[in-house]
Amino acid sequence: MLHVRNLKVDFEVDGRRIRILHGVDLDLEEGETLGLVGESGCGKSVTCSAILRILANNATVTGEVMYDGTDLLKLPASKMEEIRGKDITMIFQDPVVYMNPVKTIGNQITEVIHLHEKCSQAEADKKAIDLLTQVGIPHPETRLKYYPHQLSGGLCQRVMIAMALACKPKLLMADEPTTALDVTVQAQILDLLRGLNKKLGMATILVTHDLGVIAENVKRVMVMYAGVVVEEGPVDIIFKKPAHPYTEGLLNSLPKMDGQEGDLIPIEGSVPAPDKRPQGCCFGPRCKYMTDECLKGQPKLTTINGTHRCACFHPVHGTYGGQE
Amino acid sequence: MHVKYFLVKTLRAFITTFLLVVFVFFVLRITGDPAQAMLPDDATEEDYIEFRQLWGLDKPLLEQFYIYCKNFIHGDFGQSYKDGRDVFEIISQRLPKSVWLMGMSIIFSIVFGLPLGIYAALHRNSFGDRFVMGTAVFGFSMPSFFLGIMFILIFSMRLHWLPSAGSDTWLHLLMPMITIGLSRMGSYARYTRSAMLNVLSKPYIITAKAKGANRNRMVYLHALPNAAIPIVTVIGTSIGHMVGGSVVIENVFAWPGVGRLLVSSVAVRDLPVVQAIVIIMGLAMVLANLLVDFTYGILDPRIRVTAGDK
Repeated sequence: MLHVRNLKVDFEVDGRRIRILHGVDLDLEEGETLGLVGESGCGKSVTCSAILRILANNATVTGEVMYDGTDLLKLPASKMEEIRGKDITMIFQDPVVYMNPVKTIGNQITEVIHLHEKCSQAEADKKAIDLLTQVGIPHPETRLKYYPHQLSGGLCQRVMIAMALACKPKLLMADEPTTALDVTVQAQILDLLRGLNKKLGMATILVTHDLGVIAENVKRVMVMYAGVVVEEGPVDIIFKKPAHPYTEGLLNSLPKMDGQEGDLIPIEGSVPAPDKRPQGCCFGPRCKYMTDECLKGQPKLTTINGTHRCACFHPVHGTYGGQE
Repeated sequence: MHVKYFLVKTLRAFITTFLLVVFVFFVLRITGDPAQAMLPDDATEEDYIEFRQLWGLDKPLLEQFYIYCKNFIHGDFGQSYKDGRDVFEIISQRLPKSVWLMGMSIIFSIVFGLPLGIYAALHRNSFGDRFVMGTAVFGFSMPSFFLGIMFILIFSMRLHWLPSAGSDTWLHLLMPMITIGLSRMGSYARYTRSAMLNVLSKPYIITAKAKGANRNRMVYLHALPNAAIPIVTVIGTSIGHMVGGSVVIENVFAWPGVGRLLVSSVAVRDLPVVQAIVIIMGLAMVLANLLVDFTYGILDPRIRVTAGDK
């Protein structure tokens, strides 16, 4: 359904072009759930925003985003507006600031409905109430008249989800949907998303830096680092046998639940700034397996085993194919 | 819920008005003796005593104030020292002209200032943006009396297009309106631009875009209502400045409004008239601020509700 090829994003900052995304490939079939994981600043959100073409004006997006046979990047603005909010929708990290403070909840939900469907205000209101019930908001009739600041963060995220689901999208991109919420609320929102995903059969891209969230909610995962996809494959395989040292590092930095003792092992250093990328493999300077070979260039994403792919010259499990 | 917010604001406006009356009354009496300014140089001591008795200036200051307040509440501003005419009557002849000029100037500056500001925000750093902002700086840094005189020199004296004095027709209105409006227009444009730029960078604009809203919808239905909050504040407070500025402009263009009346009354220390005009101008500012507060309450649900919750 969605086939992204060689997606590159450049931002122009102070007259300089800085590449944020270095050619991301992504495939998603109908109803599939895909996790995008990585540290902050590795390009997960930018990938989603680039697919939906909602990046700021100083961004240049190149590559191909084929959605149901059409390249979204080549669509005129008006056609793209028809797709946004209807076929492809997105929810964001901090729901409270992503809602218009001077408009009521009802107003914000019915807006999506009016934008994409022809119906009366009464019908739209009825739909909004149905949606709010669906996302588990009590007393939806009265909540329609509320303003965002009158709701908690969790409720706001539910409203955002209601907005995103209003026109029965085929793809929902959830950009760190629970990061800004309390831990107890996080689980509720993820449960809700998982339930809706099954019920409505829509494809979902779940962006998170939380591997726990990935393990529970998606089947396939893509690990991103510094604007590059470094590993991709089924969740159960990657969690058991990570191939990329970065993925291994991420997993080692998590507490184990199987009773093993030992300290958590952090990944030393931090993600390089987009304009200060290291020579060769972008993970090189932080990688404990680094060799001279790694300085030669960014390794390609190659097959390790079946659908498990990795971009590393010295994978932790498996061997580097060198070519696809 | 919202009633309390409006009540508090109204009460505050009343208190401000009272303080204003107190201030105006005492300050004007400190500045000098009206009898000296009013009476001819060869007036005798008896003339002075008679004049003071006639206008109650011989009574203790507090008693004068008490009488003044009592009359003020009844809408009686007293009589002009100059010709004994009722102050209310004198002012009510002039006030409509001033309100007309002010109102048109405000409309002028809003009608041009806001769209220019929005345009500049949407075309940030373009030539258009720089041009609009340059003009705005020119507009509000140019002293209005100077601008007014320049207009008269160019459009009245040289080109003979527009009349330089009076208020009889639309043509008379044009120059004073633009002179007052231009500086306000400049500042409205700047504030609108920065408010719009601020709001357009907010995450909820991205949400609107992600919903499928087009550019116009994002700008006018999502950004503008949010940007309106600071813009309204600026407009409201600038009305006060305009009232002051119009005094000068009315004199430059011989506009028969209260501004000109004020200047001529100050010259002869016609206290009741001066007092009444200053209080009316002050009231205009208080009302403008009250209106801003009310509009604020309507525009921003956060203010409305928190005020009601308390």
